[in-house]
Amino acid sequence: MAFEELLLERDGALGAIGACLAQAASGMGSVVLIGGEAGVGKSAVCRAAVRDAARRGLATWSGACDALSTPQPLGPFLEVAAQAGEGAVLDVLRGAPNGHEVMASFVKWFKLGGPSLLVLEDLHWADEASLDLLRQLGRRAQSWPVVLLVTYRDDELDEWHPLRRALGDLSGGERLVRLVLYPLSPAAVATLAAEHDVDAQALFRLTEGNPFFVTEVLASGDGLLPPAVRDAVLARAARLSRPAREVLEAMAVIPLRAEIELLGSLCPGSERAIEECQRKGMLVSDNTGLRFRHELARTAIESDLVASKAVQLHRKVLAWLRNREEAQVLPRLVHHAVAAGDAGSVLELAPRAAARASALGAHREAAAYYGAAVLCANQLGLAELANLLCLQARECHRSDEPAAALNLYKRALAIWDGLGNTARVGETLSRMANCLTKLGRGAEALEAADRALVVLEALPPGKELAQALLTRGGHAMRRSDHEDFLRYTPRALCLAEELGDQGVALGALMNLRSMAFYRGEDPGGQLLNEAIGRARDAGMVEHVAVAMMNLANAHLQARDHGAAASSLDAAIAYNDQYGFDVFVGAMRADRARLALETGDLTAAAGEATEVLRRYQAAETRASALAVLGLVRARRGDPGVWEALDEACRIAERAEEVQSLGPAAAARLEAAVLLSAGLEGAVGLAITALRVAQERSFTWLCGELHTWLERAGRPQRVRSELALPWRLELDGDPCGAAEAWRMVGCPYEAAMAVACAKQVGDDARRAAVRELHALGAGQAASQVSRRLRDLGVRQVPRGARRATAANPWRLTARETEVLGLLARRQSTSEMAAALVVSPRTVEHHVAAIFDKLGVHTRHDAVQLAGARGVFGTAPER
Amino acid sequence: MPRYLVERTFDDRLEGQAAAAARWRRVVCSNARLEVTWLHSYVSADRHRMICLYEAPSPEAVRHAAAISQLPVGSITEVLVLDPFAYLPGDGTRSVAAATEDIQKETLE
Repeated sequence: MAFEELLLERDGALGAIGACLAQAASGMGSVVLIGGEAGVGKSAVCRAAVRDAARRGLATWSGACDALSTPQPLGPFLEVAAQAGEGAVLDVLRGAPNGHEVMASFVKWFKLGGPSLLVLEDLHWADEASLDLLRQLGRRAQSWPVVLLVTYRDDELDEWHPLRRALGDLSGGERLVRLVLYPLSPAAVATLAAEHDVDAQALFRLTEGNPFFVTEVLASGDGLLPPAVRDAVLARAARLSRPAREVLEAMAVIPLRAEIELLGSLCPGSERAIEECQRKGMLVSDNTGLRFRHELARTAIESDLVASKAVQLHRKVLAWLRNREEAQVLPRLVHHAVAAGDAGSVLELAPRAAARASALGAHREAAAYYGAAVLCANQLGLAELANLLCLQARECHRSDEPAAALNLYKRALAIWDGLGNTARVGETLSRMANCLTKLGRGAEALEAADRALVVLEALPPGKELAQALLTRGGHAMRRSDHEDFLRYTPRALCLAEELGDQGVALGALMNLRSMAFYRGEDPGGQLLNEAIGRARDAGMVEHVAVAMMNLANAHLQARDHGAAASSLDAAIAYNDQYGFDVFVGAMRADRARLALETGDLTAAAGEATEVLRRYQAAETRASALAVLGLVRARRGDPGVWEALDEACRIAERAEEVQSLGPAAAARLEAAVLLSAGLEGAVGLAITALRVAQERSFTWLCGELHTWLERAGRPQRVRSELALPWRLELDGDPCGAAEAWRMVGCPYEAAMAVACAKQVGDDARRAAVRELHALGAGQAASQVSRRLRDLGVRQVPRGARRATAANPWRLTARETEVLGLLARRQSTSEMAAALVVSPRTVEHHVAAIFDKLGVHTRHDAVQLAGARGVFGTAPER
Repeated sequence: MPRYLVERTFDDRLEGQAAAAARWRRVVCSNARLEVTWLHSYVSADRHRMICLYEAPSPEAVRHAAAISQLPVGSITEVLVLDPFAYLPGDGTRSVAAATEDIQKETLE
């Protein structure tokens, strides 16, 4: 072979072999025994040894034993002699020699030949003659310059195995080296898996570090069973006795482990056979039962089972399991029912399993169970089928698979339509609208929601109508279209209350109060908080989660950063507790924006990157991309347009001004800072501005107006703007800066002064320095360039000293907590001071430990103090 | 993974190669955790400026690694790396000088 194999964790073995080879070169032979389980890489080590020997100038010969039912006498030695072209030996071997003659011929060969390496593989299959020869040659290894490298499967040697006896004989010899090769560690598996798109930990669990299995799985490329392993496993199984093979086949249909009693019922009287399987290393036992040593082995044997036999076995297992306590074995029952093709049982058991899974929050599994039931469709009435499809779709939606859910709803819709069940048609359309929103297909979502209403309003009002009104109102809310919102949501509330549908009623109330809060009609958020309290009491966890998210978002939109920080923390903690991953993505994106607005570029980029890594929802990604792109633009880092163009693309498709506004503003700012792509950015910004004006987004309007002004495209028509922006546009940069500082936005404050036309040189220079200090190097240099063009002198060119104000990327919150830690506050004191739960405080403390690389509060405070995080910063 | 060039300025002169070995080993270790690979660096003769080449998933990762190692970051640029061997005949085992000679001979013919 032309390439060098990568051998991991075999340095010890190769080193020992190398030492033996070196000694052979100086005339002293040895026997090296390499034991290890099948597939652990004994052959690979042999190949490496051969290469090593060749490098050292030794001759090398290799022979192996075949797994034949009757091994060829002296098979491996014949092979080796033939390779070496040793005529004399071959003649002897082909005759009818006795043991001495054979021995003599080899001895002669070894003594006269130069230093060499002889590899004999898989000696556990060796015939008796070979073993005899091995014993004799090995005992006198020091007499000739030959290294005998022997491999065998140590897990297949029971005490009666001939090789074991042979090895026992050798153990007294002085020139014997015994090596055992162990499976790979998780780290080594990770290294092997590095170039592949595979979960290294899952791979390790599946293969238990067996290199053969690992490399076979990786080579097969799709994580399923590669043929080579299968062949190896099947060959092994074929060598067992018939009862043992029966046991393996029975075991093969049982995933994970089998209770001894179960196995006993499947294969009565098979104790010896079971023992044999264990001896041969195919099965292992633990406290609860028996299992295959490798899952891959099980699937190999299972794949070889004749279908009818498999079905028969599954039926038997199913029957046996039925007698056990059902709840615990429900998943297993379903598995065997499906495999046995027992549609009746599947239809009976799968929905129950799905319901249980769903209640436990295991939505993906619930969807799979429903899916199993759906596959038995031909036994179902159409209405039942449509119902199951809807249930499955719901679970898909809950497990964040909106695309799959959408397809299922479409199927169900077709059925309900055919059956003329208008109510369910409307309900399904409404749910599809939610899926489409998740997928970022705004226009289609709106269309579906409208259709749902048309269909349902033709019927007497029912709960489906209430739900559809709520959904449609929700769409309007996302687009911040207040009038549209009021067309539907109050009706949803009334109708739901009439019908006693608490869920929809609370949802509608929540939306109404959130909207009011957004519009500043509920200062302090008391009404909204009251609604949240009610939902909590009613145990409507999902509603509470949505409301908390809206509350936090509203604070953020109003640039009330303190309140936003606390409510984001609270909302994320609540969602973590109840496992609503979907919302957490949106909130972390909000957190990224919060960090950006409070001038913490590092934290903003970090949070945005994490969001992009983990969450798929369109709106969430658009939000995070806008933040990340803007951070890069302000710093002058690469990757600006990848992020911002994508953000704009997603936002335009979703048709929601809440996404489009920030994305357009970010793109415009980046275009100004980097002097690139200005035309396109201006066009998009003007479009966004118009929508923002319609919806009275005063902050967004201000931002867009100001950057258009800075881009040299001032817009004449102005609506109401938020104060700091208005002050700047009205020509009061210092007032604007002050207003920004009150709100806690240092970047905007500095930019207001730095970009202003009429302002003192000192103030301008200070502003540029501030931009540098915030890490916004590109912003600073762009502004400086302009100022130099205008003739302003002594504009700072860059950060003269490298400052790292926040070397560990602590968020603003974490810095606060660190400060409180320095004052030796306890968790409950800190919780009270920050107005969050003790659990949230612990979470922050853990993050601090992680980032600083310490384990105690004392160390954290010490380390931070040394870096000057509190009080006096290092001198500039 | 993309490659980034980082320019940095030090107020104090950088230490010599031997004295700095431990420091740079630590840098390599902490970088590895973030999937940032330090490929190599150039130091100006006056030892105040350094240009470093990294392979990393994003510019933020480069900044994070620099922060942990307490190294300043001046500017970051994404770069494509050109290597003479990409354009010279041979398999890269001959020296650049030898391969260059070959090209010159070729063009003469």
